[in-house]
Amino acid sequence: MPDDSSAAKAAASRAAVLRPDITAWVLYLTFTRISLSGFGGTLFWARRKLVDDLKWLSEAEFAEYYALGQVIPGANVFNMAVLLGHRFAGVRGATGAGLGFFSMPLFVVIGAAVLYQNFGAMPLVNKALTGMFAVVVGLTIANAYKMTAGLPRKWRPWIFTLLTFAAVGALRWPLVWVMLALAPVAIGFTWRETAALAADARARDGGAR
Amino acid sequence: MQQDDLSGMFWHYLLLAALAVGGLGSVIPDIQRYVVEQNGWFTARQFGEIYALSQVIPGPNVLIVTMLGWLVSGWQGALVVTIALFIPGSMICTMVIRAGAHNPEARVAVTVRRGLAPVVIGLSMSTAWVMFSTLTGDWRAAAVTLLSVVLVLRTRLNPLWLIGMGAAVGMLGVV
Repeated sequence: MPDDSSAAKAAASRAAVLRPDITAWVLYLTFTRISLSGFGGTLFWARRKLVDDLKWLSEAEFAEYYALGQVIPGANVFNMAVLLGHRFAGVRGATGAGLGFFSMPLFVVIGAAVLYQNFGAMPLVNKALTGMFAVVVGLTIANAYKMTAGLPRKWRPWIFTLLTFAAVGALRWPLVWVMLALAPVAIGFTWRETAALAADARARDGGAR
Repeated sequence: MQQDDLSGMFWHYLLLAALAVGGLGSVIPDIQRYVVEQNGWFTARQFGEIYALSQVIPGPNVLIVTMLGWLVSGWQGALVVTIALFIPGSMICTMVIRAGAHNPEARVAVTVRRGLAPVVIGLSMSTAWVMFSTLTGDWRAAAVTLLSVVLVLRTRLNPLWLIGMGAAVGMLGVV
């Protein structure tokens, strides 16, 4: 939990810091660049551009925006783009950054779809796709394996993981129903766990929050 | 018929995007269920190929949905599903901004993140399972898959190289 000074700093960084040099157009171009360089995911390039190259954000701020983008449903980096765009240039900035994320890649993927439709069945192309797919399956397995390393060694999170896997992966039930059934319970349990933390913070902040 | 497909896709992807906490990648198993099992627009094999393609082209991986929409009903399909994909996030971002709730340390944000992490992991396991079961009976493809699992976990090779090697191996007729 943050102490008083870091809480104040965080509050300051959260307030809309309009930057006249970062216009909606600049945001559009920046996020177009980020999303077009996003081979195999855009997160890596977003951090590199926003933190390392442009220095619009500190490392910690980037992590904050990413965390926030993850809680909001949908594409994480898109949500981040919208929030950041708003911070720097208001509603126009949010629109510019959001559109930058997908407007140009839209044409790239449609181009790929056209190619797939016309050449996907050609023997050589088809063989290449089969080989690529075999590797991509391996990547999804490795990814799932790495993610489980982040689970705490407690039984309750594992039960939710296994229930989700059984319902969505093995039984192929529609995600909508599975999420509606599991998410409230999973969040409810965690809410109880964080109750102690929250009480702690309130005591320390002296009711300031 | 086509109009039905369009509005069906719109609502389905809108709902999925609204549920996709932790990223759209986690709803891939349900997208497969929707386009392969429920509607029969693609075979499991085709879906796998399209998924593999979406991983290697520049751009956000979530735009696999745009590819699927285009293949089902052309430009209209691509536009409709892409818009559906970004509506929930935009709306909730707007609410977060309006409410001034920009704080990722807030208890609600922490709880949602921490509470849903196991579910998101279960979904990524589901993706792996659904994709792996597409390889049914093809032991050479399964061998390539297992080899790439080992390479990803044991080396620091860029996954794009691995996918490129997969293409080469495929073209040589090994798989």
